[in-house]
Formats: sequence, C-alpha cells, structure tokens
Amino acid sequence: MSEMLVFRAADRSIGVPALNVHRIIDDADILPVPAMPPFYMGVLYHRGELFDVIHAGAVLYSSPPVRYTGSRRIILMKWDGHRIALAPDSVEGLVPFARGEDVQLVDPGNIRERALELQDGFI
Amino acid sequence: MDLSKYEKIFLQESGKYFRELDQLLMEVEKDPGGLELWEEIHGKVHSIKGMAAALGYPSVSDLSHRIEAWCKAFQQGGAFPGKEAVQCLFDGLDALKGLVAAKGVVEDWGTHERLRTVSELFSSPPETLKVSEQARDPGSGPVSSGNGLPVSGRGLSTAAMDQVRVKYGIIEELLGLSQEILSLERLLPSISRKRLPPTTRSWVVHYSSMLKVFYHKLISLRLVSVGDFAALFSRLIRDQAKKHGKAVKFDIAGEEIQADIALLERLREPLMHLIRNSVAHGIETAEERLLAGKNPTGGLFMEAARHRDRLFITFGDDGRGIDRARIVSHLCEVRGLDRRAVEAMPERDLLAAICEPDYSTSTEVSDISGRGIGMNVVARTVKSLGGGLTIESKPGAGTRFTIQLPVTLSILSAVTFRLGGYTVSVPTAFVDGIGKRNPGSQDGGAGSSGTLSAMLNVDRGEGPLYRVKIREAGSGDGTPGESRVLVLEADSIVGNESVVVVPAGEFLSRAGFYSGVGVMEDGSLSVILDVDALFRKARSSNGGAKLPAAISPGGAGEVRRESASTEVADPEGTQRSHVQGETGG
Repeated sequence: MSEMLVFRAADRSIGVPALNVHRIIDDADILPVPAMPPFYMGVLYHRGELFDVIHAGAVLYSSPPVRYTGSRRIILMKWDGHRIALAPDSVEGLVPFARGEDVQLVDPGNIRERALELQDGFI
Repeated sequence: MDLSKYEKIFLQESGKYFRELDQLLMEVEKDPGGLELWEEIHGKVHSIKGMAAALGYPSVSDLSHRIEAWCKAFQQGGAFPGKEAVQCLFDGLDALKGLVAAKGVVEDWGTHERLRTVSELFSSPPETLKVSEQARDPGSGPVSSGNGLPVSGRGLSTAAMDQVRVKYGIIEELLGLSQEILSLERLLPSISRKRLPPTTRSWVVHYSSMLKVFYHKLISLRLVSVGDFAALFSRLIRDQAKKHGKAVKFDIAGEEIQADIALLERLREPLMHLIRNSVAHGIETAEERLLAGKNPTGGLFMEAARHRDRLFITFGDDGRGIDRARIVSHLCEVRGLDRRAVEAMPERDLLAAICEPDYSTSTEVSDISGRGIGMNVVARTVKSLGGGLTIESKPGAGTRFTIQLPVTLSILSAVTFRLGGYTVSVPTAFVDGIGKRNPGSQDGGAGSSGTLSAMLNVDRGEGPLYRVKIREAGSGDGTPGESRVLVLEADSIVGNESVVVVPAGEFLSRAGFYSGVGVMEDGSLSVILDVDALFRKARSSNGGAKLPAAISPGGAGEVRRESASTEVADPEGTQRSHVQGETGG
C-alpha cells in the first residue's frame, strides 16, 4: 500500500503507513488506568482485542497530557503482532506517500518503542 | 540406523494404499455386503499398520489397528456396515492419511482433537453394531431410514458425532462481535430507556440478559483441560526417551483444570524445552538408576493447580537434579561473583541463575547435568505472560519447575469498585471484607494516609466511603503459611460479579500493578489488580519508591505530593509495621 494516514498532533502533521492502520473509531470507550505515564490514556477493548491508548502528541513530542473527553477519533494500529491505539488531535485522511512533503512519516514500531522508553523513565 | 530411506518408501506405499482404499470404500458404499471388498480393505489397512509399527509410528499403527478391527468385523459378518459406518471409515482413513504424512507427530491442537475424536470413534467395539436379519441378505442392501441413515440400533451411535471442529479465530471473532453488541447496548442513554413503553423496556432487558449469557458461553469455548494439553507431549516424551536410550513414564495430575487455550499454547514451546532437557540431562539411564536404588524407569510429571487467581503448572522429573556446583562455578568464574557470597545464596536464587541469558550461552553448558540450554527463553516466555518461574531441585531426587500464571481468559469472580474516577477490580477470592468507613476515622480521608490511592497516586477528593480488605495467603513473600492484610479504599462499590479476564497488554504489565482487564457482564471494563504485586509494593514502599504523577480522569494534570503510609498487618493483628514513603513526581 502506498498511502499513509495523516493526522495532527502537537501542531504537526504526522503520517503512519496506511497498511498498519486497522481501524479508526469514534466515541471510543476508554478505561483510564491509574499509575500510568501522562501519555497513557487508558485501555480500549474493541471486538475482543485490548488496545493501549496513547496520546500521539505526548508520546512523540512530549506535548502536555490531555484529559480524555470521550469524543475524539482513535486510530487502531496493528503490525507484527503488536497493537496500539493512537489518540491524535484530529485525523486528516489518506495521502499518497509521494504527496506528503510536509508530513512527518512515523513507523508504528518507533511510536511503541518511544512509549516504552517513556514508561521506563516513569516507573 | 538411517530410517529416512524406509520412511520414503512407507510414504509412497501408503499413498498408493490410500488411493486404493478410497476406491474400495466407494465400492462397499454401493455393496456393503461385499465380503471380498472388506477382505481387501482389511489387508491394505493391515499393511499400513505393519509398516508404521516397523518405523516406530505408534499413533499410526494404533489407529490402523482400530480401523482394521472394524474391517474384520464387517468381513466376518459380526456387524453390518451402514452408510454412516462407511462414512466413518472414510473419515478414519483421512485422519490416518494426515497422520502418515506427518510421520505420526501431532503438533497442533486442532489435529490432536480430530485424531482424538476419530480414535474414540473406533474404540467402540464393532460388536456393538447391531445387524438385522434383512441386512444379512447381501442382495437386500442396507436397511435405512427415510433419510438414508441406518435405522435405530444399527450403524453408529449418534453420540460419536456430537462434536464439531471450530477454528479458534471464529470463536475470537464471535467473542469480539458479541462484546461490541454488549457495548452498544450499554451506550443507550438511560433517559431513553425511561421513555420506552414498559413492554419495550422489558424486551430490552430480556435481550440484554440473553446477550450476556451468550457472551459468557462463548468465553467457555476457549477453555480446554490441562489433561488434553498435557497429552500432546506424550509423543515427544516417547521420542526423546527413545533417542536417549532411556525408559520414561509421564504422569499428569490436575488434568481436569481448565485454562485458556491461548495461554496454554504459549506454554507449549517452553514445556517442550523443559521436557527435552529433562530427558536428556535429568533422567539417568536405567543402569544408573538401578545403581542409585531407583526404579529403572524415569518419571516425568506435570501437575496443574489453581489457587485464587493463579494457575500453577509444575513440570518435573525424579532424575539426578541440577548440579549446584556447576552453577556456583559459573557465577564465580564467568560472572566474577564472590564465592562466599554465592555459596551463601538462597537455593531458589542460585537455581534461578540458570535462567539468566549469560548462563545459557556458557561454553560449559554441555558439561552441566542440570538445565542450562535455553532456560532464559523459558523464563522470558513466562514473564511475558505475566507469570513467574520457580525452580526446585534436590541432588539425586529430581527437579521441579513451577510456572505460576495469572489466570488469563476465564470468568473470574471479582469485587469491582471505583476510586478517584477509576474502575478497579480485585478477585473475590482475596477479599476479606468490605465495610463503610467511619466518617470520623482518620484513614482514607482527604490528605490523610491511604493505601491503594497512595500506591496508585489517585486523587481521592473528599475521601473514600468504603474499605475493601484483601488478604494475601501463601508464599507470596517467600514465607509459606503467613498471611497479610491490606486495606484498599473505595469511593463506591460497583458489585461482586463475574468478569471476563483479558490479559493485560504490554504497558499495563510493565506498570506492575495489574493482572489484566476485566470485561463485566454489561460490557464495561475495569482494571484488575495484581494482589501479589500490591503486597510486594506495600512491603517495599519504605524503600522510598517514588510514584509518578498521574492524571486523574476528572481533572487537569495535577501533581500531588503527600506522605503515604501503608499498613501491613498479620491476621491476628498482633504485629503491625508501618511503611512510609513519599509519593509524587
């Protein structure tokens, strides 16, 4: 697939390979969890699978943590046996790789590793 | 002896037989009384059996033998092969084909189950098939009911056909869909419900309750018995014993305990590894065992037990045990540890050293008569499942590996409560009591010392209304028989109900407080506390472990700093230790 899903976080346009996007859901029912780092918004159970929900801006750019209001789009991502739910500020849509000059392309594996590093520093 | 040449011949010959058998069965389907046909079928199955036995494929020869017994009965007129019986033979031969192609080795759960079903089918003596006078007349053809099946009392018992094979993925999909429907139902605003006419409201309630039952029934499809799981290893044990020239038996205890197939499947590789090591290095040869005064047949065992929210699977042997001296030597010479310190190490810690990565790659591993090869892989797998591994070994007596796991997907009874905007559950088995906090009491009030809220750095606002007392029992802290009590505060109690436990993901597992996520009957979620971890945290919090700032769900990013006092008391209340630390980040 030659497209990426572009979303906004911390005033930046970020793209992830569309191949790794499982689903985008609205009005997700996220369970907040105590004693977790600021970027961690909670868990989401979708069709039998549990996703860790992480705030895109907080994990990628250390933007201030946000309060979940229950009305935002969540990007469910799956790759190589991993899964993560990403909470962006907004979702822009699918864009071919070739047309994403102003978009920072991020690999979901890097997002996960960054989140784990942050959690290690937090614990 | 190199058997590969003969295996190739066997595969070719049996392939030819199977093609001929297919043809023959189609002929007996039209002419079930054809005795010459049955004689020919019998002969070919007998040949497959003989070749398999010669090559050491007992599963193939065993199934062939059972099918052969049926053929013999039909051939001798002791039973009449109705349409269903012939179909069973087709199924049996298909299973035999698969088994031959796999050289008698069953590696996946689905195939194992199919073979078990087929074997059980052919375990019924052919004499149980009833024969009618009409059917003995070869010219009359089989007597059948209007739908073509044999009449009652003839052919097969329908009990043998009461199972179907279902792909694991389909069960997962059904679970997910039903859970989503439950969530949708929960999203119906309560105000809308109140406006519904009574009959419609009643319908909705009935529909919801049926859906919940449906969901929980689906959950039970994922549970399999440990006995069935353990049986998968019988062939491996037999092969390993033969390879190393040893006699070994395998006993299973607690086989009736049920566990999530997804969990057991993850344990398959680690257990296979333990078995290989045990047979290769643990169990002595028959001569050595006789000299040691032991039974020449070595014993392997697997025990399963369930205690509260933990599943314990123990694998062990009665062999020579792990060579402690070798471990000491490795720790001193390779890791550079002080010999006196190493020799003073508790036995459990010393044995745990064989799970370290550098130990398994030691060049001395081939000389070590204990477990060294790949044990770190075993330990990592167990850890990734949120569990623990304990090793016990006695020289000359044997070794035990106990894998302790949080019960993953299963239905667990839990007390669910709310604290500071979070929904938390504790397995009911650990709950000692729930009570209301006295308004005038010091504990649990805002700004005062607390337990769970302090450990989890939860903003308790006005102060909790309830106290949930949990008790730890067993050797959670390495001291068998001693119990501890911990008081958790709660703003409100949701209830004591069955929750479906979903394994904690990567991030939750690393937090160290949670054993999973619970899906309640109405589809809502809660985090399930790992009670053992709570007690460990409570005991260690006097080390000044700082808890990071957290965002409470109802407020902005507020960082709180407060002293935390954690009360850990023994059940008699005669000894109390207060552990103080500071929270905040």
